[in-house]
Amino acid sequence: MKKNVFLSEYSVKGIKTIDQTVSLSFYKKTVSEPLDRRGYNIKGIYGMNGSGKSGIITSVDILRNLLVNAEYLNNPIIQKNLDAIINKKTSELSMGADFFALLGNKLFSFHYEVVLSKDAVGKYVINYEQLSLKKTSGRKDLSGIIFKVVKGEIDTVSKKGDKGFLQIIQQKTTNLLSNATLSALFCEKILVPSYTDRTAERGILYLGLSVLLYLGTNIYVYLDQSDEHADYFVQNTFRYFPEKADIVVDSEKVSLLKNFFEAHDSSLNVVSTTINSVPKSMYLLFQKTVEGLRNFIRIFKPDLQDIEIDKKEDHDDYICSLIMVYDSCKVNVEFESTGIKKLVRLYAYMREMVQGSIVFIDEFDSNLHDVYLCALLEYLMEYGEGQLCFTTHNVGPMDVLKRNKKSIDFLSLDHRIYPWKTNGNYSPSRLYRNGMIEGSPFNVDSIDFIGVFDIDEGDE
Amino acid sequence: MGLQLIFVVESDKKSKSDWIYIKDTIDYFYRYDLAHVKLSPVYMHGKGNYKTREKEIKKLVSQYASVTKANESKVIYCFDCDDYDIKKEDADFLREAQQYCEGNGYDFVWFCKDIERVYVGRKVEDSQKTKEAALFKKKKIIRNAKADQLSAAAYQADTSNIMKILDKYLERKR
Repeated sequence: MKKNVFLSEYSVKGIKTIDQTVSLSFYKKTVSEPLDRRGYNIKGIYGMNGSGKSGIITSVDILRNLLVNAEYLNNPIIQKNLDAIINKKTSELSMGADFFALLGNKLFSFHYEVVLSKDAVGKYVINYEQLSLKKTSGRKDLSGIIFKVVKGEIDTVSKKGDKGFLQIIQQKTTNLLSNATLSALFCEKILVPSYTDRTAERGILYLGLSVLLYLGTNIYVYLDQSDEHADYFVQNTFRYFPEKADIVVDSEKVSLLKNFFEAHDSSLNVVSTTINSVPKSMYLLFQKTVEGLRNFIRIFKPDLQDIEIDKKEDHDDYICSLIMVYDSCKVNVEFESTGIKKLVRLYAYMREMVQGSIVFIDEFDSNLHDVYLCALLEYLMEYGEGQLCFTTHNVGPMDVLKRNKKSIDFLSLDHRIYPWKTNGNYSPSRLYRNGMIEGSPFNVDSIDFIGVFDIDEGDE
Repeated sequence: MGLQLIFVVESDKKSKSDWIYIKDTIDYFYRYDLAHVKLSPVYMHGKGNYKTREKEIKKLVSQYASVTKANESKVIYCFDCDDYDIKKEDADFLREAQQYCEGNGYDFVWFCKDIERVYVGRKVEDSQKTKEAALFKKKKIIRNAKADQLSAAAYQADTSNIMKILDKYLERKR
């Protein structure tokens, strides 16, 4: 199912070793309708160890959380992590996203940016946040800043429509905008409690916040380390929309949001290789997911007969673990090979990509066979309705990726992006392996290791 | 803009003994932009083969330029002088090799009389060269090297001009 948002550019500065802006471009500069999603739906980021690939993906995860979770910055573990990963030189983390949204059959182009920095007591807060509608959008008359929040205060807001809504949002977000983004608060304070005020008109601010929240809920990030802490079921926020909202701009009623959320009827059902805590109300969905997972794993392990769910009741939840059933034995998925466990964990993310979401995966290749990886990528390029951006060290997929546009980015040791440009008969994988790509010279030779592993003779 | 330094060395790909001394010299005496300087060794498998490495050199140059035209490659041939002072054929060989480099716009690096005598301070048997180079690297003997000794202007026993050439492209740290 095609979804209605498409990320065209993402930029970040201030995470891990990245102390200058790194931008990933996902789409061509000149935009015409309809979007050529397929030609631009995949990107592999390559870079030497320590170049900052994981930092980029981690920052997307932070952005996603900021957009959808109003409590994110209030979590002390998150604060501790941010303190560890935000670049000490920049002392702030800036993230920006350009994205398209298909509204009322017209393509709108948005730009969003958010900056995190420490407040007086050393807590990371939102220092700056801005959403704007670009002039290239379907409705040029609506372009400009939709809202700007500076140091926890609404600084600028579009006056197009939103007569009563603006008052409501100001009232509901007072003193909260340092610790949560406007879109996350919009979700928590207005959408979820089904706050309605019949006198309030929904205008461009309502539209912008809805689209931003939609973007946040359509981004999925797979990080190897954090996998086991993932939410097994991410709630579908948009079930809270009371109606197909009309947007009023200058007294003109336009149904820009009509059909926009209809495509958002699924949620990420991550399958854990250890314990899955599944709400009883969602057990059928979990069963379906496991069925799909079985069909997926069978491609790699044809002798797999079934995946059984071993469930135990726990109040309103079932505690489930998965049992792989083979001809002659049954194995708890926890004891499967590292590669199979990785495929189990990745399944939900790839399904999301196929269904139209924006998926980021760190170290896609780890524990996966080169042949499987290439076949999967080829499938996702051809059949995926969404976007996939992943980091990898495996050069094998480059020859698959090079068929698409903007599909290979090289991140240099000094944290600059060098996109691959088709160049005669030169193969990106060969040039990269030979250290010929700018910023990735691979000046490492077998001779560099001489003496490094000796323990009996030290420096003289 | 990137810079590729192609070092064409006498030793073979398996032994890499010459490259060990040269790479140690670069790492010890110079700082360079790790992201934008590429070091590419080319092995002659014997000094007599110096003219047969053109194809390999050209491939490296064109591959490096293919990514961006601003990328530049410099070719540095490295030869032992051997007995240039007592044997006519060694002197003739050295002169021809130098002319070949000049004719092609390559840099000409010499070690007098050979790379081992410059870095280790004595002649090393062919069979021991790999082992000796590894020991040099392992014991960090490069720390004993003197920049003056590696920046000679003319052939002189136990010296080389390697740092005179490297100074053109890299920044000294000591």
